[in-house]
Amino acid sequence: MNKTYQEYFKMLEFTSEEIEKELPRIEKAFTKLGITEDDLQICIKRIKNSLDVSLVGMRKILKILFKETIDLIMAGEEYEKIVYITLPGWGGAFIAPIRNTHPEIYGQCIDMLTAVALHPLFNKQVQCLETGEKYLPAGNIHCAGFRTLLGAMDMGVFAKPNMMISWGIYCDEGPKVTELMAEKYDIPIVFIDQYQDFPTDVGVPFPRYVNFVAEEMKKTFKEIEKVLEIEIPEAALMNTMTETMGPHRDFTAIQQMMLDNDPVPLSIADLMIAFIFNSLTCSPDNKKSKVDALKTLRNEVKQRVKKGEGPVEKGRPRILDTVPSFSDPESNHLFQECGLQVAGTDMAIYPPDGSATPDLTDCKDFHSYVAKTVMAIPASAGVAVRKQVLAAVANKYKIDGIILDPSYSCRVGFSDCQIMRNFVEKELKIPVMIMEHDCYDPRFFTPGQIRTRIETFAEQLKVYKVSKQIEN
Amino acid sequence: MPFAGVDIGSVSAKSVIISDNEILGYSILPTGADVEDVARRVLNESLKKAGLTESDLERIIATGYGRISVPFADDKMTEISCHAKGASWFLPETQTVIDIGGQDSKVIKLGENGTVISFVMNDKCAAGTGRFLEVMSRALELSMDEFANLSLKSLKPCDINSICTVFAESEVISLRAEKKPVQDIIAGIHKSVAKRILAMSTQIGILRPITMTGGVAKNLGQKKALEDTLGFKLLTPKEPQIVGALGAALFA
Ligand SMILES: Nc1ncnc2c1ncn2[C@@H]1O[C@H](COP(=O)(O)OP(=O)(O)O)[C@@H](O)[C@H]1O
Ligand code: SF4
Repeated sequence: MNKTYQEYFKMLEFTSEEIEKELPRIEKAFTKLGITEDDLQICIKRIKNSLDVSLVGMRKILKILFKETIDLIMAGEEYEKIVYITLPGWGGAFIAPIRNTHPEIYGQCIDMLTAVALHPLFNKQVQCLETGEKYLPAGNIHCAGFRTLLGAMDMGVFAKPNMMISWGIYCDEGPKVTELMAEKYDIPIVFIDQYQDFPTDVGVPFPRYVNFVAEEMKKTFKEIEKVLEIEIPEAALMNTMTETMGPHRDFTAIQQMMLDNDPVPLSIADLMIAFIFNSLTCSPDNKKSKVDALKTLRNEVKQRVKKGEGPVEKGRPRILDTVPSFSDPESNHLFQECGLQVAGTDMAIYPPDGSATPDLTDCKDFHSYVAKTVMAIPASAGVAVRKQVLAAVANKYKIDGIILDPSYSCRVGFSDCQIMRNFVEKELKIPVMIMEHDCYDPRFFTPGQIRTRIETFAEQLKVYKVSKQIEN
Repeated sequence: MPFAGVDIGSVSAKSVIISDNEILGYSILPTGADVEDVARRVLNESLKKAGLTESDLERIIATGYGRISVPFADDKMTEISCHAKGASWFLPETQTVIDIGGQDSKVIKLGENGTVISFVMNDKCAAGTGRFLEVMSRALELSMDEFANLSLKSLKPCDINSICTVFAESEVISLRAEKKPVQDIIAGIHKSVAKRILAMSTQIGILRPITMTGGVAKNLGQKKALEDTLGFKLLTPKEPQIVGALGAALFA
């Protein structure tokens, strides 16, 4: 193994025994993905420059993400059956009981894993995106998350599954693209239907809606059992629920510490990796490591809080970023390079008061737990609720400014962003910036352009903070 | 005390020397490939015009796309903050700045003393920028001056529907093949840039008076198209291209 490969695996903390054992599989997967030494060199630089690999928890997370992606690529050869679930949502938790009870079946929330791993760890997202774009039938644009998936399938990187599960909790992209894939590859799909007349001005999660989706999920499990010819005992569902709650608690504690403290103890680039990692399911081999990785990260963040440490110095402007990049840690890292502390994302805070922990106390079973967790985030809610959450977060956590980050190809994100901008500017009276980017498409990261926007916003916030201090 | 602002744009490098709230000298050079070298040359040229040397300067602030590549600068600021500051120095009544430069365009809403309240910037696409206009003038085989002034003669601007520079260029070539009068094609191009700026402006809700800055403000055809589209007159400083560099010098 040459120096680049050695450095890459060392960065991911593989022992020489592990590499020796895993190398044949890894090489096969690398060949499928078309990984070159250049790709690995780019990834080493990308990860070291934009993620905090001094944190043991972060290194552990990256290692598991690497292993999970290799599993995904090799699934066609190594598992008897494959099932994918697509965005948006808490797909990992949904699919976990299948993997837990049937180790011969591979399952994953595939677009979340590809979104978080392909660019930072393999430098292959752009290639998948471009392939996906060539394949799209005329008139179909589709969000970049799904274009990546379509491309990877088309390149033969991911195996054809035995079935796909799709839900359109707050977005119809998942169902639309799954349908497209089902047609092309002749794959059975099950749709988890959504509630049709969702009121936009009531708090989420709206109980009637949660119950409806939970019931739909039960039906979906019946369908999964039929298509995959398996049985999933009720106890397995409850076990999965308990098992998922641990890492989720660790993740929410990390987000809460970021909201509560100045300096913010963790970079948003690292938080986003942890956020998506938490929503994935893991192979039996990696399950324990996942629990350990998030716990380790939580403890390290706690230590930083104790010592008053963070990537940006105390007192610098604190902002909220609505949808940071899922795929591109380098663009997320720019905030701290420009002296801004990102205290959180509204992907991981909950109505009504903007705390990082959803109220799951009344979830009596696995289905309502998953449904409620998915539907509790502001993205699932209407504009009125999202305004309420932004206002609560801004006041409670002393937020100096808000970056609205609608993804180019995301209709959900873009549709109300102008309304939100006016709200923040006129009602909350704090600086706000719309930063066009794409949370799944690193091609939209033009360093000069984005840096100018963020730096200007930082300069604007500096003036704002000074004038606020004078006012007080 | 003399201060300098150096604005390294994608098309041109600008430098302004000020002292006691007065402009002592300025210079504009094409940026070219060697950013560090042009930064040094443009500063020296402006110093020469001011009758000063670098050792006379108290502080130097760099701005513009190449701000990070000016090793002799004491600090850097973004061009958005600098255009806001510079425009309000030239024309203190300014409430909004429309800055169209080589590779990006910005609409900036100002607060007191030329501070930025909010702004929008074009995305990474060249549409609505000076570069777009340069590509179009080349497609029509005209110099920038000819291109800018011919447009003022148009009575019936053509419709250019494409926002994308590549598609717009092929539209322009087709319009030429259809023998449309060249002044109408150019006016159409200017109108399409103006429409793009209007769309950006509505995002932040512009206030009047509006000052146009950046090199494209020297293009009178573009200025007129913007005024026609927005429905009111725009102010322009005496030398709109140096507004960013001036702002940087004021921050120094
Ligand atoms: N005399 C002129 N007449 C018409 N357009 C001009 C003139 N001078 C400059 N421009 C326009 O200004 C643009 C450059 O503007 P500038 O503000 O210097 O950009 P940057 O700061 O990005 O380098 C050119 O692309 C060109 O379109
Ligand atoms: S990014 Fe937007 S369009 Fe894509 S799946 Fe998510 S909500 Fe839907």
